[in-house]
Amino acid sequence: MDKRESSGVEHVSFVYSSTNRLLHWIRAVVITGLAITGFYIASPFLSSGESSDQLIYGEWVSWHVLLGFILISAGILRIFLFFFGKDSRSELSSLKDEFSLKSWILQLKSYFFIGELQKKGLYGPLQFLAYTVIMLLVVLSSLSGLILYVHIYHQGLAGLLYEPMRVVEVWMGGLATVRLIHHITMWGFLIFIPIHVYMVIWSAIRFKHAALDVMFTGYDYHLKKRGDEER
Amino acid sequence: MNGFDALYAKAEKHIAVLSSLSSTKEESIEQMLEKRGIGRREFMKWAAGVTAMLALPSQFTPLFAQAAKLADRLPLIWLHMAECTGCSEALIRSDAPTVDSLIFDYISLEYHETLMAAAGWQAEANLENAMKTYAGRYILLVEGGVPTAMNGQYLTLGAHARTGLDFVQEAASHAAAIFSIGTCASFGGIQAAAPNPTGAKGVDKVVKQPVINVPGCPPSAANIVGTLMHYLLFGTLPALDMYSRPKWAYGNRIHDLCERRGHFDAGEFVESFGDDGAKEGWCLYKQGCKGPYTFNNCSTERFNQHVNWPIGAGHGCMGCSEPNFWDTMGPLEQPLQSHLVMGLNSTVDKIGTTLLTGTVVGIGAHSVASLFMNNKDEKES
Ligand code: HEM
Ligand code: SF4
Ligand code: SF4
Repeated sequence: MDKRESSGVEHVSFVYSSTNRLLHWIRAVVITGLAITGFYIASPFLSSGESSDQLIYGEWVSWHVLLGFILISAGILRIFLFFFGKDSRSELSSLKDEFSLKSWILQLKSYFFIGELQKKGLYGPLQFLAYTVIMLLVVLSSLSGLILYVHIYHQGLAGLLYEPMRVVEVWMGGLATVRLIHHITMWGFLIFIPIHVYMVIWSAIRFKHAALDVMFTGYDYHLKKRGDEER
Repeated sequence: MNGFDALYAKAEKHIAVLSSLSSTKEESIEQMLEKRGIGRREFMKWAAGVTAMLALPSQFTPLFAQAAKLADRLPLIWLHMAECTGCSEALIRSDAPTVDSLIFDYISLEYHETLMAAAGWQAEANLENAMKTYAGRYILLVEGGVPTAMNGQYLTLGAHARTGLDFVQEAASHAAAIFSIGTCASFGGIQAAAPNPTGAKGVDKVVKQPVINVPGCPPSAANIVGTLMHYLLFGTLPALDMYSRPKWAYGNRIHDLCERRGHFDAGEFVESFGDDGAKEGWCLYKQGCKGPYTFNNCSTERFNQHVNWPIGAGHGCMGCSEPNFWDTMGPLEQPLQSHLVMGLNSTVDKIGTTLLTGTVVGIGAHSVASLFMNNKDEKES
């Protein structure tokens, strides 16, 4: 066997637990669904036009809210796992890179083909920042979505949340501004998704490690570096 | 005591206090109404209507009728700041005098620039006099935003050229209750629209006392009179929302009780003014209706003796009773996402599309560059 090949498959690490992988794909599907239904809510392009008994808009909204609650649940669980999950140590150690200027320069340079990427945790600093911002965006869209929600449903959970959500509504500057903020979060996701998919594929090629399959199998593999042998 | 009994006792107590005060008028409100052709039956019908509007149980109707007859015991001072007098107009213009407007005209309105006969020095003396005589008892109603820039010099009143800011602060310090009538007094209104050169603000931002906001551009006569009548009945502030608006009037969105709501949920929208959908009375969402973001009771109370209201007449709500509506609700006849982002003069959708295009172009450039760089890499290994 060729020397290079054997070294290529040898270095395997388990990076994502099954829950984290599942949550990732749930978010991917649900956010896509939310952007599509949300776009309809903002500019309704379909109309029954025949009967006022077919509540088309109402149905789109209820699907949107249903997906919204899946996103909220998945988001809460993922944030919990980030801090307290069994494998959260490797994610948390990315914070070291986050606050290291050297790591930042290394990552930015590597994206322009200058030198290799070296990191202490799971993510590079720019990558970690991007994921943090996306998670904050999930929180913001969930919060603004809940405010909009308590104004269309009034019983049960919506009734419980009504008063606290109205406090947040005033912080955000009134219901119209909440709606605009909610709309802007959609653009945040729309811009993030293509960059995210591209960077996953590109860095797999560039740094010779696993691509999309990490999120299915949980295993990342990459070429053995000289440092690995010494260890 | 349960909530109902407690509320009832509170009203009874306040009515007793009111009846102990002396009226400044020669004839009673009852006699006045009788003279103007409003009999007991019509008066009770009106009292029942207002009681229901205030979301009070019908058992309160006789109590409320009693309180309304004592309305002449409450001295009112109405100040005009930076405004258009539209709110006063909304109150006093009606096709025939209603019980509301008759009582309002008759009550002891001590100072109201549009309605009073006095002018100049005399008018100012009247105001000073009223504030002194009824200190701690009068209700202060303010119409208009209060300019605060340059110590309020953008608005001066009267022969002494005192600033509006000064007047409001002095009047507020001796008032029993303060009502901001209209969006300008409540939130600053059009004067406060960006860039707000005069530093106009709502009354609650310039006085220390609690203020009840009755916003609207203009608020309906029902909301102005209802707020007054609620105070008359209980002598305390009503349940207020986060923006100090009475909940009985501003508890629901326009959208919640709009007659076109069925068409909204069915996805039946007016695509342009005058199209078939418009003739059918479909929803005005795509024509920029801001009803989903606006808290008010226009959809049930309507205007001009409940005859009609903007959405009934085929035009969307413009969100007039919300804070900063000039800045947050525009453009008038387009949906919210057509709002121009401050400073960039572009809509969020345009900015988003530009950024997304930039992203895609960037990805393309980077991947093409990668093709050349990686070739070298692969040959090496
Ligand atoms: C990725 C996350 C989300 C995206 C991209 C998204 C997108 C959108 C968009 C574009 C709108 C239309 C806003 C406009 O008119 O400009 C909307 C409305 C709405 N969203 Fe979301 N949304 C998300 C999450 C949520 C969540 C978590 C909830 C919570 C339940 C939610 C509840 C709502 C509600 C209630 C409305 C208003 C519907 C109506 O007024 O009838 N959304 N969303
Ligand atoms: S016309 Fe306006 S308030 Fe009425 S249902 Fe349509 S969007 Fe809502
Ligand atoms: S319908 Fe809307 S814009 Fe018109 S008065 Fe009522 S709240 Fe104001």
